Amino acid sequence: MSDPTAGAAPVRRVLVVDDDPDINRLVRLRLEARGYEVDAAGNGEEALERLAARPADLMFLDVSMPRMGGLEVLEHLQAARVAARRAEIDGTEGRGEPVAADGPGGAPFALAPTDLAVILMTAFGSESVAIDALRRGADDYLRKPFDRQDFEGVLERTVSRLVLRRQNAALQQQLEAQRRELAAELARAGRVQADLLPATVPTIPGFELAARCIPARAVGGDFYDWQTGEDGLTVSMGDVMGKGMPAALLMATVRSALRTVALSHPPAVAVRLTAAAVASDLSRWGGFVTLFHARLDAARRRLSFVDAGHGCVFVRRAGGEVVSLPPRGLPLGIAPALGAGGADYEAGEVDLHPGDTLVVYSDGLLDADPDLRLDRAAIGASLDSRESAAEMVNRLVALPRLDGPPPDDLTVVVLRCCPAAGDGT
Amino acid sequence: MEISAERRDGGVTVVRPEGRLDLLSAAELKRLLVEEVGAGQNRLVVDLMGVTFIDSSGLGALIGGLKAARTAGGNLRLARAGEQALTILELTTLDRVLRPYPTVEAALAAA
Repeated sequence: MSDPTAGAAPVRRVLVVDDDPDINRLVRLRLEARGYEVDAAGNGEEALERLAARPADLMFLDVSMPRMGGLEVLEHLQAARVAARRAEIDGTEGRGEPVAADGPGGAPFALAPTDLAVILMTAFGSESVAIDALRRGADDYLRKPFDRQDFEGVLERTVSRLVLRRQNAALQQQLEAQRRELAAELARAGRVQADLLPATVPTIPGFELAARCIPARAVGGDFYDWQTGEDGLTVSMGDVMGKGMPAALLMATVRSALRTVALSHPPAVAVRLTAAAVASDLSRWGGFVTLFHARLDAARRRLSFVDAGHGCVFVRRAGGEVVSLPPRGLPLGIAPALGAGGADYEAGEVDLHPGDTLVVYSDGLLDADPDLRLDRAAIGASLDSRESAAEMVNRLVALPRLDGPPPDDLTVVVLRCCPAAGDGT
Repeated sequence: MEISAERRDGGVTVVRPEGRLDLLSAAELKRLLVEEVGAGQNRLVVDLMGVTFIDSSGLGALIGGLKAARTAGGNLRLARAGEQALTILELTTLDRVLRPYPTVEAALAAA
């Protein structure tokens, strides 16, 4: 990984501001001997003009000068910092044109907060001035006359502090960039996921089908799918362990694999073939997939199904009784991980009578409001046989009290066997 | 996440994660479990007493640890799983492979 602090600009350019040409020359020589690029100004106004034309990293600034003294320069610098900060905030919040501070002569003068360190040079006896200056944003001060040791001490201290400030800023910027990139990736994964959900609801004689997915903020590996075939319908709901792009991609793979076999094979075979198709992906990733896959023979009103670690499913009889759907098997990817070879998926069957409802949901429904402790009985009890599948879906997604996106995708699929006419539909 | 590991005789390590066992902490737990097996500790007990929440990523870490332990001729068992953990283990049928025991001692005795 590249050094994030490499983005920090080195400390190279120094501006020396003093109306005394001897001081100016002395400081300049000492700085140039240490490899710095030095520019000079004789008073405050000139200093600001130089800075506006070419930014410096460090400035030695005398207090008492004609036309504009050091303290006034500090005031201008402070105003420019405030303006730059406001511009930064306005810029990121998109609030329109930033405002620059006024330099001498009214020309705008923009300055980034950490760019310039200032060492104030004060005459002997004006320490209170120096302290005042530190409060106004100077980094350090040198009392004249200063010897070589004083000079080098203050210079080194100030430069170290400046370098550290810049490295921190560079790190912050990199973090920001990473955050933006992650948000963009999650948005892309979210689009993958949304695009793979069924676009239309099929009409099955004697049945109603409805579904809803309320996505979490972080993209997960949830999906639901259905396909219509000659004798009815297949319905599936799956959940890939994990979040983000890897989970979304694996979800897409499982969904595709299942789609190719769902209509042409009974559920147990379809799931076994799907498991085999994604086995190497799951093994590489160290993940697993829970899956409920069912096939409805509409004429016989018989549902055959495989539950591979999904569990969040039941049939609610017209009279309100909630029945679970055994047999239940392990999620895809588990048996191979434990060296048990390919798993055998056993199918179950259930007959649906008019007024019965198959309810399939993701664990997102449970995680959305853990305090509710929603088990099958509680979820089933919230429903009314007389309601349509769509109404039931609305009721189910309203069970948890959500303020904001749920922690995990909240998915609900309802397949209702319509009551016979005259049954109070 | 805070995870403590207490080594005992006979290649046993009792691992105690604290807090949420989810996407953010799962990788860390799995790494520790695999490291313990690599160090010759193939009889693992994960004490879930301090775990407030576990999701599929957390289960994935435990499965990863179980796989490593089994490959080394050992096993991984769970102890003191809370209500939420037991629910998700039962829903996924993973309680058949990640057997939860009421106490650490019971899990060790079964090993």
